[in-house]
Amino acid sequence: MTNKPRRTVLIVEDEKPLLNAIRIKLENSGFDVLTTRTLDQALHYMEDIPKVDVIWLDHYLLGKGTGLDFVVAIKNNEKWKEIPIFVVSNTASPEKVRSYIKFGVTKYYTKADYRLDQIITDMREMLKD
Amino acid sequence: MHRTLERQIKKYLPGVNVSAIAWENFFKAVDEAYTHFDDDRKLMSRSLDLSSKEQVEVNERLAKEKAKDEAILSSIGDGVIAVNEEGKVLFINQAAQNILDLPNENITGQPIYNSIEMVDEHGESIELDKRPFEHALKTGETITATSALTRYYYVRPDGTKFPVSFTTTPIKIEGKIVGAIEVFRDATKEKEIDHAKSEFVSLASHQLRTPLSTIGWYTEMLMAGDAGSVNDEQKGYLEEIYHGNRRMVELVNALLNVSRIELGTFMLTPEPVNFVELTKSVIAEVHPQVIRNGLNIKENYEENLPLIPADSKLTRIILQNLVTNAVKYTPSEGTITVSLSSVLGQQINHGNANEKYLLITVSDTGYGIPNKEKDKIFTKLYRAENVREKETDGSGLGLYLVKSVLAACGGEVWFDSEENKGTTFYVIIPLSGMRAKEGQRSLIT
Repeated sequence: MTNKPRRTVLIVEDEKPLLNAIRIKLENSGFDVLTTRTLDQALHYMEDIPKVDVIWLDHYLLGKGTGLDFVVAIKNNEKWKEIPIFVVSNTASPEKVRSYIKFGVTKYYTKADYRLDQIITDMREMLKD
Repeated sequence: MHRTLERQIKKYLPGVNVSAIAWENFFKAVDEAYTHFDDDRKLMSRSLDLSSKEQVEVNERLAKEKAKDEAILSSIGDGVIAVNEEGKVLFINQAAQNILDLPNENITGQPIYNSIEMVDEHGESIELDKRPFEHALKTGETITATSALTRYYYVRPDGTKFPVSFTTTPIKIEGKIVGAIEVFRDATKEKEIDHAKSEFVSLASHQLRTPLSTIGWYTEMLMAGDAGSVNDEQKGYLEEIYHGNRRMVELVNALLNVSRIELGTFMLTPEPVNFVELTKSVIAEVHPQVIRNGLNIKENYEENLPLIPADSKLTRIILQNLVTNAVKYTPSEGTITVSLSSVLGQQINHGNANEKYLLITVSDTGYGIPNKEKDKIFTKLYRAENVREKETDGSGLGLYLVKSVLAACGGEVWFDSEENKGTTFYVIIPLSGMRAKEGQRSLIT
């Protein structure tokens, strides 16, 4: 992966062990990684970091707000709305899945049913790396 | 008396000349006739006397029986209502009046359908011909809804409703239906308990999936060498952990699906489905096991099968269960045949005679289902004895899910099986499509 540009991924996930696993796997796959467990900090990162290429998002977050609130904020912002969002959550209610898809997220995965490398492969493909 | 008789005869019949012996015989015959008549009279009067006595006894006995029956019926804790062939109430016991809150009203002689309203879980009135009494009277069949899953509700005069668990049986005399009787009770408590149980399973399953994801992802990373290289023995151990975890995820998914079906919260969204493609992809998923177990898979697809409005997730659950069961329960060198064709209901004696169906058959040359267990095979958590001995992996939820899903969407499932020869499962889905069902959650494949 020598000539490929380094991509920055923002991971928003409340469950610490899972957050760490995702971070390590993405770092090992050559991503620059930002992590947070709350909606507020995720929004701060978006403001402060010049270029987030892709977002890895859980539904339930620490503190106030859910992944859905974050998606709404992203999609309503001209600068951010094209950033692909991968929702990876164990909360597979179709209403939620439908809401996420309606707001234009790239893909929805059920955590327990997918391998990390599968999701990262899809992510790479999306970024055309 | 004989002298008088002789004089009278001679007076009215002067020309008759009769010998002494003839007279003797004649009088003897007359004597006998009198005696017989007297005997008969006595017999008759005695038997009349007897039968009136018996009549009294019988009446007494009947009255006692009736009082006993009434005492039994009125003291039964369950509600009991009997109707005649026109659906008019013949009898209602005290418990029924209490449960229905009808203490002072006399509904005897009134049509049951006017007296007691029956609705479904949404509060919609149950159509007359779907009312259990009407069904029993029209078809002569017993209709029963005894579990907490009952969808029938009785409405009290104040408008409140309660789920009713009942058995309604036709009363037949010499084969003719003369009425029906219903035994019922309020199933509110059972329904609440069942609901709480399903909600608990659903919640617990969600909570279980997070740690399972952690185990799965970290094991995956260790195997991939993300934390340094692992030797072959370590890799082998990690693979065991990974597969154990996969089994656990599948079990939790199945439990979640069962609780959704039982809660009634699962939804069914029909969209055009290419069943051949879907079947092929399910077969592709089991390819590694098919190779490992040395099995053959044959596929027969009728050409030009139409797209069928179906829920692809539910269809996948049905196919996955049938195909993985066939793979799991067929010894090596066996053959599994999967076929898709269109049929009329009457060709297979299932479904509606004139309706067209997609027929899915999955047959194997496997262990088969023992005769004595055939009626339990779709029961939740049930696993046949012969496969329990051979294969520990199995939850007993698969076929229960298949049957529940098909029951909800207008399809059917049944099977033929012979022990140690093999099993064929048949599934039909209307070509017109699955019935849509609104719900909060889809099932997990």
